[in-house]
Amino acid sequence: MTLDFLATLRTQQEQFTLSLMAEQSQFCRFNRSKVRQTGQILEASLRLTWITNARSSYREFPLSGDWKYDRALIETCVVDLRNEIPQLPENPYLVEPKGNSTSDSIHNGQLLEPHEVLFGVFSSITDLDFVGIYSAGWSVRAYGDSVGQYHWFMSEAFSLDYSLFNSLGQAVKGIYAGSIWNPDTYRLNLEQSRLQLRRQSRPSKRLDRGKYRTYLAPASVAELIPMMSWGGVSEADLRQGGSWLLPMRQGDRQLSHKLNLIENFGRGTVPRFNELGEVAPEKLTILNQGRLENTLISSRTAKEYGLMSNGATQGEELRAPEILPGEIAVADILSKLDTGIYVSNLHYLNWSDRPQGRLTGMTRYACFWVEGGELVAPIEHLRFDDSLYSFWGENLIGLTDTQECIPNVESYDRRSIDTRWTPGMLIENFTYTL
Amino acid sequence: VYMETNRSWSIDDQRHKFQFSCEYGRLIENGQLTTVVKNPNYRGTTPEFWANLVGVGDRASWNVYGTPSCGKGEPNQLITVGHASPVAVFTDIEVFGGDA
Repeated sequence: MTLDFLATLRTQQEQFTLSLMAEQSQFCRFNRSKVRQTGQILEASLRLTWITNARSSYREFPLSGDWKYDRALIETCVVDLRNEIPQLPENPYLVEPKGNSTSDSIHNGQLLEPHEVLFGVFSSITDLDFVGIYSAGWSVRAYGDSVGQYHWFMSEAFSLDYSLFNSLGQAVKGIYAGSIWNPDTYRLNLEQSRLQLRRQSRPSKRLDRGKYRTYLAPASVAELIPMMSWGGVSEADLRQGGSWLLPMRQGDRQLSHKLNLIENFGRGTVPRFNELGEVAPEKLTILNQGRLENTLISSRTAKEYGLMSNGATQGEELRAPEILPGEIAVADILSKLDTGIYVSNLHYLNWSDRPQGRLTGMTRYACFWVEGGELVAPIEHLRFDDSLYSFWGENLIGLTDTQECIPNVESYDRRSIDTRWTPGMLIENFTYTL
Repeated sequence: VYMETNRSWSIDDQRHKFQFSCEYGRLIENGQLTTVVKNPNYRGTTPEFWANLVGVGDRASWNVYGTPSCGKGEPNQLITVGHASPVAVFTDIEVFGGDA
């Protein structure tokens, strides 16, 4: 209806793109195993981009669901944009929508009914200091434009992002997420977390700063993946000198041949279309045996540098990242680690020297000192500062032979729908500085 | 070192061990700003860091700062925050970086 209405408003010299984000979600926040806040929301927002005479601008606004009101709001936005755009400079790299792609992708789930959530979540945790957020429902991402392209992506999913605390204030992190709520799987997930919590309750060990053999569990590796999208795989960042991968592009450095990173939309958790309705390839190899094979190229970057776009978003960030598994059996992790640090989670990563690929962060939650392949004691948390060229380079001993799906459970503006698939990593001489 | 433009920040969930990175800094030698340093970082622990505060600027350098997105807590929550500060001087701080 909105697309048809906009089509009646535009003139021949004007183009538009329209992006919809919508969700119906149940949220439940709790701590100390008590519900503190609960509710349901139904919301939708539009981003309308108006294009004319090599200029563009946009408006983002929520929808009420009342067409009479929303129609008037859209009309007002178009008037505002028509007044604003002539005052803007021409954009030499502006890309107008083109093509004829369409898609319709629906992924239904089996979620708890709202009235089932309390029993479903709480029946197994009454003896625990349990804190976190449960969120569930459907999410929609959709696109339409003035040349007739149209995409619709809907998925139903849930996530339970929680921590368990002991009497000493130490915590373990757990995430149970997916599209089908299975109480047995949830109980198993909790049992793993309970086991980690019991281990956390042992006297902790303080380690001096230095280099240690380290196992990064999949949840830890998942924290590193976004650094690939922050001054990383973007072709624009490489061209403008802001990417840590520049030495690889120049042939001066490479990562371990054991490291393979792909964009994999084949798992169906995120849409393949971008803000211009362009469809990314189902799979794109980014790192092939440690070498940079492809970057993410948006239409704008393609126009600026005379390249071919590969359907990347304007921000050229990874949307469906997957690190391929290696050869270390999960059952052998501790024996292969032998003596070193088991890191369940990393926290608050940031670049300390991006041109050198150096970043810093903290260990968090259930991290342990391991001796002779046995978990000995939880550690007092450490700060690391090391270069990806080192610990994803010559110091990468190997990767586990299985992957875990680590969902993005953020819900600041809206529920996130993206996931990261990754194995664990065994690393030599990981540098801890504080 | 005069740390002028912060562009990286990391601290643990107890607000104890931190590391900050600046894009641009300058050496201070004999009371004068001298050589530019790139990507200077500093790290420390909160109690020791603030115990090493030895000077606070007057109103002339006081300014209001903030960020639209500061996240904390478990589960994590996000809020816009602001605060004000003049320049400040600390001693015996671990400073490093600038390999690029």
